[in-house]
Amino acid sequence: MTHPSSALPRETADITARRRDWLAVLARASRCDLEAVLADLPTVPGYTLLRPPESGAIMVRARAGGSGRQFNLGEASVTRCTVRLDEGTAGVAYALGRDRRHAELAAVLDALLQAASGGADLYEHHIRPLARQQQAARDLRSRQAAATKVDFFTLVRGDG
Amino acid sequence: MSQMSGLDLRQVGRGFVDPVAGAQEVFRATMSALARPGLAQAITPPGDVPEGVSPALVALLLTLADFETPLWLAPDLGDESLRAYVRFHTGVPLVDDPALAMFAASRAHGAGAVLAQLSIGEDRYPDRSATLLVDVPALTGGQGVRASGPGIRNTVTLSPAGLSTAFWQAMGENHRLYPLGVDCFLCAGHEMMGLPRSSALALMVEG
Amino acid sequence: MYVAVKGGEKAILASHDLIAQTRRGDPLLPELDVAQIASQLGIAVDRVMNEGSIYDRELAALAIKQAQGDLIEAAFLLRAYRTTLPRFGASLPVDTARMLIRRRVSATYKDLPGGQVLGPTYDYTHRLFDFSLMDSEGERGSVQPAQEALDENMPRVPDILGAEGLMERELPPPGDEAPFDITRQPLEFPAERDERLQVLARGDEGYLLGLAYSVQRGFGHSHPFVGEIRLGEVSVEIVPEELGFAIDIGDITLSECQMVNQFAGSKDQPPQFTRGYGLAFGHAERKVMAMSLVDRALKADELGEDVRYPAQDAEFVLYHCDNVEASGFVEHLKLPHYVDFQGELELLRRMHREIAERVMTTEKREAAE
Repeated sequence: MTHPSSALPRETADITARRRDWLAVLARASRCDLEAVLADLPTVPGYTLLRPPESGAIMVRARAGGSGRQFNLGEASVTRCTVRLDEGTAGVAYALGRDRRHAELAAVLDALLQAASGGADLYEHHIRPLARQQQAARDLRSRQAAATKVDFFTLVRGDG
Repeated sequence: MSQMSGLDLRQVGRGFVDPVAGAQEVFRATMSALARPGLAQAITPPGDVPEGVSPALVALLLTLADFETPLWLAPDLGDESLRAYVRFHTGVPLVDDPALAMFAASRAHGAGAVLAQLSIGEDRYPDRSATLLVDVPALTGGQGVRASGPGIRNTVTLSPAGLSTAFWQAMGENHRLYPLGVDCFLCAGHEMMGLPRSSALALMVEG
Repeated sequence: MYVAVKGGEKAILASHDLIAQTRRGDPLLPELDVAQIASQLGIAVDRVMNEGSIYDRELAALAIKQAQGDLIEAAFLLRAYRTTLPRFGASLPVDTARMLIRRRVSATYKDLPGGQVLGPTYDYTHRLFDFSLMDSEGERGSVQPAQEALDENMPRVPDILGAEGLMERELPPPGDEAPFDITRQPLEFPAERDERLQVLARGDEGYLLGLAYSVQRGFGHSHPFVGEIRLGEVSVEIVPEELGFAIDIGDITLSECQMVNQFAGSKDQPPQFTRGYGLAFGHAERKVMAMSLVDRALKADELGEDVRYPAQDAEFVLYHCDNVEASGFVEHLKLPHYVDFQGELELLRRMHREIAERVMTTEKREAAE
């Protein structure tokens, strides 16, 4: 039942890496963005809620000194959902916060993105732009912080 | 946790139709079952139930188990679909050693043997003992057992089917450990009953 | 004698209405919006998230609105709410070395890799009123972004010193086991570091600040330096059971402080720098600085130092840290204690009576003699 991940065939490892990537984008996207993606699709396939959207918490862990012993910092609210498309593929969503609709939309998109046909297109046209937006926002935030970076200069004490 | 492989969600069935209300109703029933030992309680079944296990036992697992309560499942109880089902819906870690489990589930056959291996708690924290869930063929029709103790006026007679004399002896040993010891739920179909460690049990001589 | 007292119900219901009306304030003014609180009173929101022990900006903002700005009452509301949430699991330990930095300063190194980034701070403001904020509209500051983003590589300062062997190492213990969880188990003493840090992380900022101050003023021999303070966003990762691999579920804002302290050394250890650690949700710089000083003070026992001061006494510090517990116990005193008090009153009256009788008897006897 359990396999060490190193034993996974390369193809599976690749799909996992891509899935991790889009799940991170979906978790950060706004509900409006996800509604817009789904609204843009020609058809939305039928699905059932394997696990209806549900809000709860996870315990956020950290390490003493940043690198030492683990400790529990405190909880964070999280919402999750699992759907199964009528053709059988399951989609999973976990995101910080309490937006259940967001979780359901993200789970549906996770299922659709796994499709052998159409998944790649969906990613290119709808998810990659969201990823770019998110990256741009991070970059802007970092550049704003960089504006407050100290430029030390040494005052030369000359004796004339 | 990170060592686990993922689950095949194509086959996993549904949990409670309304997860919060479903778990609350069943939890209420477990409270009643422990407060009134030997009295059958009806439970709300989940939307889907894996093969080879009673809806009552599955409902108890959905209600009680979570990612912090290691679960031991008897190898002959249900199949892979049961394991995937409980891992998906509860996040419970499955363990191979009953001594590490906070919950254990077994068929009637073999329940006595596993009972003896479960955690009985610590003197300072008797509540840290394990809880045993047993799937029996029926809650009636078996050998008569007279129970007495807290929650029972005088005595009550129960007769769950399929349980061996060895099981009842193990339950007797368990009771003598009080306040330590294991609490037990017997499940069949859509019903279950509680046998807490506080109940004294006596096998009734036949005939 | 036990007397059951009823009859407060109507008064209680009316007091609910009155507090709601009081909270609303002047009805001619627009009502505060939860989103406004979350966005414009961010540091108060962060404090409530820490002491309420759950990261949820919107709920913390709601708690502040509902508690009329009483931050301890707001933390209480959040704590009460969190008990209703099912817990899905625990995150992988967050990696603050990979933080998207918004502020990062060191008092020990001027030229550190990645540089000193002042970020959003009141440190260099003049603490003079900005009366233009009295107007509800006006020009507000907006920063001109730099051309280049910050360096991706922002090593934590103690990691730099650690490489030289001059800094106490912080390594996971063998097995790297799941930490103690005070929300699941009662406190245990002697308390290990994981238990201590969890208590401090949800501890009252004012209490920790007072203890940290005591350490500096001589109640705990300490000569601390801020090795580094950083503020920014880190991603949170979990491994859902159904997936079996780690996924990123979004970012949280964290503040971190690495406090560097002298240590004279012992027979087992050469002299080296030791460290105290502070980590908190949101922008909570005072909190993490105080936390790191108290964390270091609580290491006294492990380092073989004398435990002489309040901040070094784990039982004293940890048992009194939590402001929800503390206000519960202090404030319960205002609830009816009629029967207890009646008992004490009766006792005192009897004693007075007895003293008076004794005096009278003595006086009579003296008069008779």
